[in-house]
Amino acid sequence: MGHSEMLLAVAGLDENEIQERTSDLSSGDWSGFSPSEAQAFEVGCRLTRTPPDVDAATIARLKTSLGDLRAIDVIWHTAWCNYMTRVADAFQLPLERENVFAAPDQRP
Amino acid sequence: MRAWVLVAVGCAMTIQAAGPSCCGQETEPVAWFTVTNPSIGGRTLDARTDPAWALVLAERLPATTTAMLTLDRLHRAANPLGNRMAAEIRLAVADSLGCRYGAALARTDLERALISGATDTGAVGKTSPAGATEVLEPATLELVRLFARRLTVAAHEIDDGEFDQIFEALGAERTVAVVHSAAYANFQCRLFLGLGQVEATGSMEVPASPDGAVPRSGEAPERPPWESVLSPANGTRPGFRPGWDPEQLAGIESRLELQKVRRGRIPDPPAEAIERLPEPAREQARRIEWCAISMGYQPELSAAWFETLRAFQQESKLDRVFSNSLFWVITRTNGCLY
Repeated sequence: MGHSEMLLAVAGLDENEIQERTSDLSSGDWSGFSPSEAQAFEVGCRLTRTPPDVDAATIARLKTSLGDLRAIDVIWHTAWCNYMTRVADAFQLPLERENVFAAPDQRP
Repeated sequence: MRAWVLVAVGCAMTIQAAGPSCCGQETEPVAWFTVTNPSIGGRTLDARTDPAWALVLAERLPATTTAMLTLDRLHRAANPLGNRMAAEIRLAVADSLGCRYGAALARTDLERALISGATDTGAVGKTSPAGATEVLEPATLELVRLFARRLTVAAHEIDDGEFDQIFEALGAERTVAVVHSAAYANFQCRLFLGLGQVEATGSMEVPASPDGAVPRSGEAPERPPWESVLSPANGTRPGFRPGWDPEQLAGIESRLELQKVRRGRIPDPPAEAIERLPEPAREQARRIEWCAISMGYQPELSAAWFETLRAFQQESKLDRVFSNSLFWVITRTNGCLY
């Protein structure tokens, strides 16, 4: 979670915006997000938690909302995230104190 | 039991899911993703020699698919753990995730490894730093299988004692290889399941070197602009709720702080291992703990992984707020604080 928040900062969100966004995400009520974002979050969550339960209907809804190409991108990105977290959790890597993804001129 | 088939539809192929109805009859197949032009750089992929997943991805993410073929070949045929242990890890992960295609690929590799020299007594050959062949006991192999399953279903619950068992048995380099092999299987199986299991067609063999399939620059189809993708007019809002306790957010913030002072489970790699890395990997390894451990102990597996990621980022051009919000959702689902 720490790295995703750092990356949201690199994407241009300030501290308050990150806090607001992660609070909205964490609430589990994704009605404040667009339907296609909410569809993507659902697929991300389900493909992570119970992957065999992701069925054709779920993917069909994702394709309807985001289109064929973006649906594939969301599935790929979800799979990628699961690689990254397995490595981080296995080693219980200490979270860096500074934003390690910030541009060099923005690092302390 | 559902069956997944790739069928020819005119000049197009469609990945379809066909399953029995309540009355025991096959239901109408439901298309997941069509395959109309599975080619990279002008070379048409062939279901007899190329894996099914590559056929689906090639026309949508050609450079990514090319990098993935290299990555897959490395994990399946040149894994630093030896190909048998690598297949055992992927089989343990695939079984844990209910991924039949991943399990079938792993079993194919396992059979090949057993035929081609690994003993069939349960012992696994491994190469020591001096190059001599050593024997890995069946108990160690079972420990690795169990660890791979734990890493798949509850990675954040693995405790220091569990990790230490693996680390003491294998040492740093091989432990990092075990983790990356299991992580790769987690990546691949979720991709397979998201595409709609694709085991019924395509080659089960290790992919050939993709040298003859180099994507042309900009070959990936143009994605629609993000403003239109995320438009409120698109799609219907799902009723799905992740079921998280909203009260836990404050707890998460304090646990993130604790993660900053936590001691990692594995020592930093020797400085010379980092010095040997090419840029920009060396600079990243100095800055980011994930990269230091991965690139320092398993530079080849890590470099192939990052090459794949780079290709995907360039081709997908995901909106960064969207993609990292999705990343946050997944780290939250996994309970991963890092």
